[in-house]
Amino acid sequence: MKFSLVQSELYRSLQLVAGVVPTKTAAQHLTSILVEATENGELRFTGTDLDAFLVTSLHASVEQPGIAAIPARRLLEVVRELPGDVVEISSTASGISIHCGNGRFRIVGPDPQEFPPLPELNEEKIFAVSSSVLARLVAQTAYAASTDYTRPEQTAVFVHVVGGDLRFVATNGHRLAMAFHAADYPAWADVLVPTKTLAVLQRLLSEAQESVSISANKRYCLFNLGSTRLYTRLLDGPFPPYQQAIPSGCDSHADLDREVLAAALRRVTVFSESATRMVKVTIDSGRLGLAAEAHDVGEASEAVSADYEGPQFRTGFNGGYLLDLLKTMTTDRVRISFKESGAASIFEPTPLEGKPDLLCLVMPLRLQDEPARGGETVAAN
Amino acid sequence: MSGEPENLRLRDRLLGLDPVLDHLSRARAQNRLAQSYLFLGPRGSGKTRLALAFAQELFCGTVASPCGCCVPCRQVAHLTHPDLHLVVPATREETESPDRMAALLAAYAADPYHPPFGGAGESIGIDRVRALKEEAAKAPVAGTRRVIVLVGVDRMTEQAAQAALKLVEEPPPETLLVLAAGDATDILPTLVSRCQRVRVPPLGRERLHRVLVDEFQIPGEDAYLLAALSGGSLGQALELRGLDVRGLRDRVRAAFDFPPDSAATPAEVERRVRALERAWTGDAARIGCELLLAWLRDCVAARAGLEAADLANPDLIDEARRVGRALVPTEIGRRIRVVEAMAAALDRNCNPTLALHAALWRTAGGSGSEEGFFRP
Repeated sequence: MKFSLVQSELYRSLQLVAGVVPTKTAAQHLTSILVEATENGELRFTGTDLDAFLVTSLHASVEQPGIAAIPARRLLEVVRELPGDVVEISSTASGISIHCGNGRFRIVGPDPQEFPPLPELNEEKIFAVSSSVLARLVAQTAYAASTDYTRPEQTAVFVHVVGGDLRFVATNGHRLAMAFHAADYPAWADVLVPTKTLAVLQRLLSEAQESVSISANKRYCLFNLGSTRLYTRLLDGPFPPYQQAIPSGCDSHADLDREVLAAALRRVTVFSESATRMVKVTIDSGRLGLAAEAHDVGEASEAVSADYEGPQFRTGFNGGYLLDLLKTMTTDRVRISFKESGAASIFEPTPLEGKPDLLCLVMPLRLQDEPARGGETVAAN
Repeated sequence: MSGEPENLRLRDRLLGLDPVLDHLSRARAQNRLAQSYLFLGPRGSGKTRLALAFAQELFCGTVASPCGCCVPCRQVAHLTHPDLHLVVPATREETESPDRMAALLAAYAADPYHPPFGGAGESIGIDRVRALKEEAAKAPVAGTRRVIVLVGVDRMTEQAAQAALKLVEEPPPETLLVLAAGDATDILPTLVSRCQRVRVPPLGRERLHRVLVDEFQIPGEDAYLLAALSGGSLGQALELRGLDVRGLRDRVRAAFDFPPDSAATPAEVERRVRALERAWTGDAARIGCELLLAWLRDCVAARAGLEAADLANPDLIDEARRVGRALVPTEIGRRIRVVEAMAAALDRNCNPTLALHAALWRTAGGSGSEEGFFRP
């Protein structure tokens, strides 16, 4: 293998792929980047932690096609420090040679055959989605997934198509976020995408301009961003029957200014108990009161104006959960829908026109002076 | 990139365990493969080699499975197959350091005849079982099958064993679990009952002797001694190979060679301790106990009229007959108990020199010496 290309392009590609290469693993062969140079002048870099495979391609001057695995960290460290010149990389029996200017470097790498094979996906179940929509769907849901690996299916985002709508759903059992994009999407597989990979996807999407094609089989899902492809290993389901958790008949609504509510919450949550982060919420005619107290910290209360007419409603929420969901909304106003204390409340953005494209559900925390109700969960995390 | 051996067929390295692998292969051919197996056999008997050889059969992509040459076969042999997960007991330092864990696995991949664990303080903790469960929740990486090999499950912490229960009972359909341990009595019974048990017998003294001579070019007499001391376990025999076992045996034998009914002076016991104490550390002390026990049993066997071929130390048949005649059986039995007590004390991390001193004093003191010195 022998090829040459400009240092900046090489460094950019390596940096991108190195994002998925594990730094601390007993599987040392995974700490390398697979470099493939093809006869038609395509250069392909692949990195993997076995959960995600990231492949990026670019054109280079390929003198001799071939394949090599190069330790990612050393390669990146060397290429970063090279002058902005043409870099020539070749593989020899004794390792990988890098020539740039007056510098000569040799890196010893593992056998490229040890590198795990790229997943094979037949691209039958495939559809395209704009990168900005995809970025929104990921950002509005991934945070709500669980980090508890004893329930692996809840550590993923459930991606599926319902009635032509593309839906992303995540839950940790105490909160749920469902974001959707209404379009005429074809019927598609139901897949559980690990949040770890979605974090990588988000980084890629921040630079992507075009639409992203998504395809999946039972084991893998492929996000094709053109010159960069991200394969993710899927989690086995089933995903919890989330639709059953969404309460119906929430006929009480309070509309608030999202920024004002978030700012008040940020202040009040400082005084919440560290274990539960409980903020007491009281919704009354024209106002929403927030209160928190921790015996070793102090107490806080604040009221914000709300469009609400009806009987008083008292409940408790994890303040952190509320802040998380408010952060993912982009509208000026937010609507809280509730039925009775002890039942989950719905938080939705209120767009100027059309239906909201996000639904967040938060289970309440039981207030100390509230009688115990059957079947409700008290979240402590 | 690097020079590779032509064939990495692990079946060829089983050295006597082929019938067990054939049994598993038949079960696979008849679609009767269990989801969880428990390989039981003494340490070093080849349970991990067997599990990996079977994994190679499952992963090999050729008709002549396993070919030993294809990419999956090579990846299994190098322990780099993405759907093969080998978990061995390790110290806390090894578990917390990926580099050390990588070195441990690389050393085993390079020399699969040595047991992959065996030191003090090695265990399988709950974090490693959780990582396995996390992995099992995902689809296999390269194909349609995943193999998890858990070696030394008798060294699992109780929390880890409890955490593994569900995984062992209901592994995902594409996952085959192979657990390996020395003895089922040291494993959580609920874990044992969830597995199909497969006995991995030691090779036996004669067979191991031939393997050591033919495959590892160990001289015949040394090989015989190693085979006898290791109880037919190839891995244990190869561990002993690095030590000067014959030299150690002769020094230990000389130190404990007291004539019957002749109480030695404290100065004489002290002299013998000094002569041996430099070599009497760690594993060498434990192996020294085994050597001494084998020698004392040989004395009983020789007294009973058994031939050299029946002894652990056939080169010492004449000496064994002489000592066997000189000491009455009850005295040999008493000396065996003294050495067994010393071995037990060493297992409890007793100071090796103190243990040696006490054992020598009791051996020299004859039947009237104090009993129960080593009792906890």
